[in-house]
Amino acid sequence: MSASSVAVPSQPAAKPAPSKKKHPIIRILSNPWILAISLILGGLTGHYYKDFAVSLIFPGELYLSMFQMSVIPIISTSIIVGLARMLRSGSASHYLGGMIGLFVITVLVGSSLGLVLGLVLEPGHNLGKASEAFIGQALLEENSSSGLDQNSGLQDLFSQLVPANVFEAYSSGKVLGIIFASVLLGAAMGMSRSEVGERFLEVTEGMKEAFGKILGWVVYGLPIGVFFLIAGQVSRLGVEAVLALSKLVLVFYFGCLLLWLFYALIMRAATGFSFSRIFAAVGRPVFVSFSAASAVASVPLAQKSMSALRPPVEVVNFVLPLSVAMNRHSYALLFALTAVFLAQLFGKTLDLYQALFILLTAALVGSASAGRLAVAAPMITYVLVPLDIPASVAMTIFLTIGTILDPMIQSSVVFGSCANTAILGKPSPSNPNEPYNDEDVT
Amino acid sequence: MKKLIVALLFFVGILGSVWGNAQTVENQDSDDYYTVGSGDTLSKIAERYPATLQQIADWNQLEAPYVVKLGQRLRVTPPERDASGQAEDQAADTEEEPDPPAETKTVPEATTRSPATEASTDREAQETSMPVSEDSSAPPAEEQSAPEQDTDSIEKPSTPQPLPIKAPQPKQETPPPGNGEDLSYYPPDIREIKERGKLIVLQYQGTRGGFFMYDDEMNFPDFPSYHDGKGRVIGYDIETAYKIADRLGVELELRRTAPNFTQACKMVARGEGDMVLSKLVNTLDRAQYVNFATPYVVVRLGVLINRLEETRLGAEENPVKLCNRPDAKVAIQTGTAFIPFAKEYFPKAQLVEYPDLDATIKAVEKGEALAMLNDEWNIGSALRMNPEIGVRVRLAFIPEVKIGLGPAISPEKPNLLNFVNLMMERDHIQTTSTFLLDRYFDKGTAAQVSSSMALLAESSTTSSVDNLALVMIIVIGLSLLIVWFLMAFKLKPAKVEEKQ
Repeated sequence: MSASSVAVPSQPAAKPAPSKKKHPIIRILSNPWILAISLILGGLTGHYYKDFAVSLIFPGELYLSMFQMSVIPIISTSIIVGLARMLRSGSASHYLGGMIGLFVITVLVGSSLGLVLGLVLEPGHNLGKASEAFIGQALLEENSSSGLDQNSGLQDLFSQLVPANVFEAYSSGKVLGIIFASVLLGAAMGMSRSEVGERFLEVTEGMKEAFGKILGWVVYGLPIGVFFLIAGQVSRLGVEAVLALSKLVLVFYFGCLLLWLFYALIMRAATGFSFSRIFAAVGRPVFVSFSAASAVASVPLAQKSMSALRPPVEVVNFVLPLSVAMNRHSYALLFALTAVFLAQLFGKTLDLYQALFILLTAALVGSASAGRLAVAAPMITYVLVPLDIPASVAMTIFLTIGTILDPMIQSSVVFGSCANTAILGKPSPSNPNEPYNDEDVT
Repeated sequence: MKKLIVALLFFVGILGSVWGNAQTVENQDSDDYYTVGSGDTLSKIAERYPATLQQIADWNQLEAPYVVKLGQRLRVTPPERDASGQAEDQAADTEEEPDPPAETKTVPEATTRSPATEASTDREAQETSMPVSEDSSAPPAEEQSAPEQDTDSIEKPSTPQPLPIKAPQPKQETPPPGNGEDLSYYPPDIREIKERGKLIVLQYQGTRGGFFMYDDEMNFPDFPSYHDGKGRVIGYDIETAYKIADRLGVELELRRTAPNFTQACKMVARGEGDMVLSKLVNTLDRAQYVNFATPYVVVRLGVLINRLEETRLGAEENPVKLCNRPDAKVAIQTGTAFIPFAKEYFPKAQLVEYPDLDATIKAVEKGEALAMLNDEWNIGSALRMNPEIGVRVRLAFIPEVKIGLGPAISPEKPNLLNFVNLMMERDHIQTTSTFLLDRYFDKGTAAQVSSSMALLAESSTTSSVDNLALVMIIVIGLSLLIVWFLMAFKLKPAKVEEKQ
């Protein structure tokens, strides 16, 4: 609370300073209320003017592409720079160990939350005939594969992780491969103490800054982009699908909100900053990832706005993108919840061993899931098949309600990654952090 | 056939010109053509004129889905009928009728039919062989319900007329053959049908969903239908029967009396009808005494599999491999052709017999059996009616087995067989079971069940308490968060300054 009381009085004094430089239009566009209004307008447009909203899908995606255009270079360069700097400063071992431990713990929190919510709220019990009819129809139309393609999921994952060619990974935008390559590059850079290596790092930092600048311009269009994206998303939502699976959707959203609360609490406990300050740091990236239904897209934004919590630059550079890519609590939550949901739907009772199995596999598989739900859906096979639950049902369910689950999944991933970053980069007396420095934050 | 009509109309036309009325020549155009208005469909237009949907489509070169555009001019009379005499004749008739001017669109109907009435009412009175079916099915093809609708739309004085009028019209085509039209070059089987003036189609007395079934709720008002005394029969067999009769230029007489399918085949083999159209499977047994035309639908052998059992037994996409194992139970319906199939494809499995189709499906749904075997159509239509079981079961196919459904024709009638075979291809009668499922089961039943309203009602009744609580929590939580964010955003400038 102390931080907010410091911040509030200084607000009026601070406001005129940047606004004098900025054009009024830009001031309007960066006003957070405008963002909220465009979100609401987008939702209403998508719901009431479906045909018009469908035509907004394309410009929305165009905006998202512009947004993402600079995302991949920023993620890659920031991982390289972050890891190399960590290794050079010798703080790497401290952060790496902490990071792995934190990743494991938080993802287990996610999957156990899903498991407990599923067991307590019982979303799969008494689903009702109309809902079952809807799911049944969707399954029949989806037609018929038993969905037992055991190996493809893991093989896919590994083939994505290890790119056949680094440049191919960059050009095809395979995030996992890029991260893998960046980690290796950063490690190599950090190990070498040569001057050439230092220069390479500086070039990389320069690239990062340039792309950050580009992104800063694109962010001005955010209110319009959010309007397009939300309208498109809502127009594609099948109301029937959401109604038929309303219990699952509601419990999942509820679980994610609990996760957010959990993140906020641990962030506050770790950093000592007030909740409003925490949300100031996390708000905009979470907001953007929610409306774009893409966690990766908001990484650069998160890196910038996290500066409010003053974690060390290397941590922001390295932990945040890595966490977004690999530490997916909301997927763990969803997979555990869906496993329980399906067990209830098929009238199976889970014993303790099976519950534990769900907890662990959901955490593991959830962490390995990348991208949107439609892409990640086959991963749930590993949770379900050992329980004798047909995975095809889960995949069809994910395909039908993916549009409504995705925003929450992605924004929770971003929130969780910010939490990881804040905790790992918490200011300690021995290590007074430099604020993350980026001029185009606002 | 067309020659026949031309000859006949010409004759009537001369009669008309004797009355010497040529005032309504300007009407001729509107008699021959109809301009499509809003809300018109081809079948609606066909109802208003003494032509079938098929005929109008043919005269205007329209293709199968029969889409008409607003403002499109459609020929509603045969193209050959160009002699001015007919128009005059019609004009003459029109004058005699008090009612037609009341509604212009009904004019052509009344006019073309009225001469027939005069010509053949007496004859019709004598020929009372099948009064009920003829009355209702007389317009050679499509709309059984048309007469009633017409009756409604025409002014009161004319009310009694359309009914007797409509029936004789094809009759008036029938006498001329006897009257001297040369049928001698027709082979005996076709000639017999033409002389008789109707095609006799035999059918199983029960119903088979999608092929012949009662449509008492009028879910399919636009579909060709036949009134068999008990109700309005619709289905693909009915459509096909009308198409064949139409192409032969005769009426349709549907005899829905056969106690079972095999009996229907035997009846046609004995010459009690021209053909069987009754979702008939072309089995080798039956093929020994009847000829099967090219099947109009070929269905696959379907296997309905319980998802849970399947997952428990292990991954196997191929239904034959999945079910052919000693620990697999396969449900089959007693006394069907699927028992031999099951023995052939699942020799290792335990076959369990159930009395009817529903019982076999239930057994799979409950997991009593791993799978059941039947034809694609029977399983598919059951799933359309009860989509909720799709959660627990999935449908797979044995692609090697094709079951043909088609008309059976007496071996005495080889030319009719040829004719029907040619029609199967030419008139696109051959179709797929998916098309038929969409046409007759339309997801309509399923859509009703899973409509948003039903879902809403359901989610509000079942365990409404925890749902409501959840919604409240989420809504309040989200709105709190939004407010929080917005407040937090406002702090941003301060934070920037702090940095500097």
